[in-house]
Amino acid sequence: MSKKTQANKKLKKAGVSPATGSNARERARAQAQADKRKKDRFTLIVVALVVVAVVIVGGIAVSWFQSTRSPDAGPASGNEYAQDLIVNQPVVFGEQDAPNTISIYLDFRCPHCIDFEEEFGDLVEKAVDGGEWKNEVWPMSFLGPSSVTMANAFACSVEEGFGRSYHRGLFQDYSLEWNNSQLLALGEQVNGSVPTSFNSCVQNMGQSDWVASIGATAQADGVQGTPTVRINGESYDLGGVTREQFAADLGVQP
Amino acid sequence: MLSTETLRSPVPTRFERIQPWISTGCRLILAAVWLVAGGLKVGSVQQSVQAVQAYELPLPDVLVTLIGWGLPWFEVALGLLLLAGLLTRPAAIVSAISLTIFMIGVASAWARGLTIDCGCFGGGGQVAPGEAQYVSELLRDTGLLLLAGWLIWRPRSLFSLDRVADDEENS
Repeated sequence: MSKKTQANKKLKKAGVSPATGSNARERARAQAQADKRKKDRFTLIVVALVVVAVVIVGGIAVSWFQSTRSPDAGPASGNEYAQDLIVNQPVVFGEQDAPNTISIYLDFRCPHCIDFEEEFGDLVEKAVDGGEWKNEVWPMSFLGPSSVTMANAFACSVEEGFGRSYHRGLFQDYSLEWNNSQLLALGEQVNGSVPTSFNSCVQNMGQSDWVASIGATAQADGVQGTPTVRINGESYDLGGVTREQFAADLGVQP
Repeated sequence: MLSTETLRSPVPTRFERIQPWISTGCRLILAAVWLVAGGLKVGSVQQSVQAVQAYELPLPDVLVTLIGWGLPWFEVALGLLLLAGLLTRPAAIVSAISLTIFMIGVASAWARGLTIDCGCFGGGGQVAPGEAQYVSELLRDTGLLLLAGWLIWRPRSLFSLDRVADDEENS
């Protein structure tokens, strides 16, 4: 049985008279329409695939740029406190005889640490500059390789005497992958120029022992995650704390 | 002129009537999940890379970085296709494959004793022991896999560009 007779039979069943010469033309037109629709559909599919490819490739390109561009440090912090680091002991910003201590356990790669720094970082700096507080910084490094290299570079910058600005710069540009050349560039940005000892400290992981000791000591002291804040040794709950509340607790203006 | 639709079955069955609505629901839920999952990650590049690193997969660093960069955008693209209802069946197939790979990743992290967040909707990385949520992550992915499966089986849905362009729909 030919296709045509089959089709005619179907039409008959449905109560339609079989094809005659007049609707052969109609069928040809329908066929042309179907061809056009097929072509439109093909175009639509091609457009869709191009859009998908552009989104993915473009997204990767944007990410590449965001990760590898040079750092863009903000204004340097006012006071700097150079110090020789001792294993198991944190960086301390502020006067040694300040009556209060705020200890911050952080990882330069931890998202909530970035949030904390964005929201409260300037208040901590203000409290330290007021002379009533010193700020212990415990840079832990458990969030992957760049956590470690960032903590190391931070330690290097502290010994060279521009640690506070460097700390701020690292947090400010958290979308960078922070490879060595970016870590070095940040040093130059916040300090104008850097001594070669800083370069070799960054490139050769000169403070890796200190970095490892900080992580171990913090863990031994019961720090379970970052950011952890302790005020005069007492753990300080960051949950739901507003900027006003935090400022009041440090005795500074929000 | 009569359509073949009516010739085939003059009275649509109940299934035929509700199927497009179910498919539409599946399509839109999947689209929303992909768009949210991708959208939450595109803004935080390093976090996305870290989330992939946390799985400690035996892949070269370059590839891990590329996955971290590309995966959120891939999810957004997939979400857009499903939202538009364009290439619904292929998009559903790709969704199902991706979900399966994610589930294998989560299960393998679990089996290897890692305690990580899946990083499915942003976040990711290590969490405290005992705080990993592997069971609920796997259950959620199973649910989504079912939606994708339905969509592969019955991709035709309402408000879709596929429908507009479909050459069989009205001929």
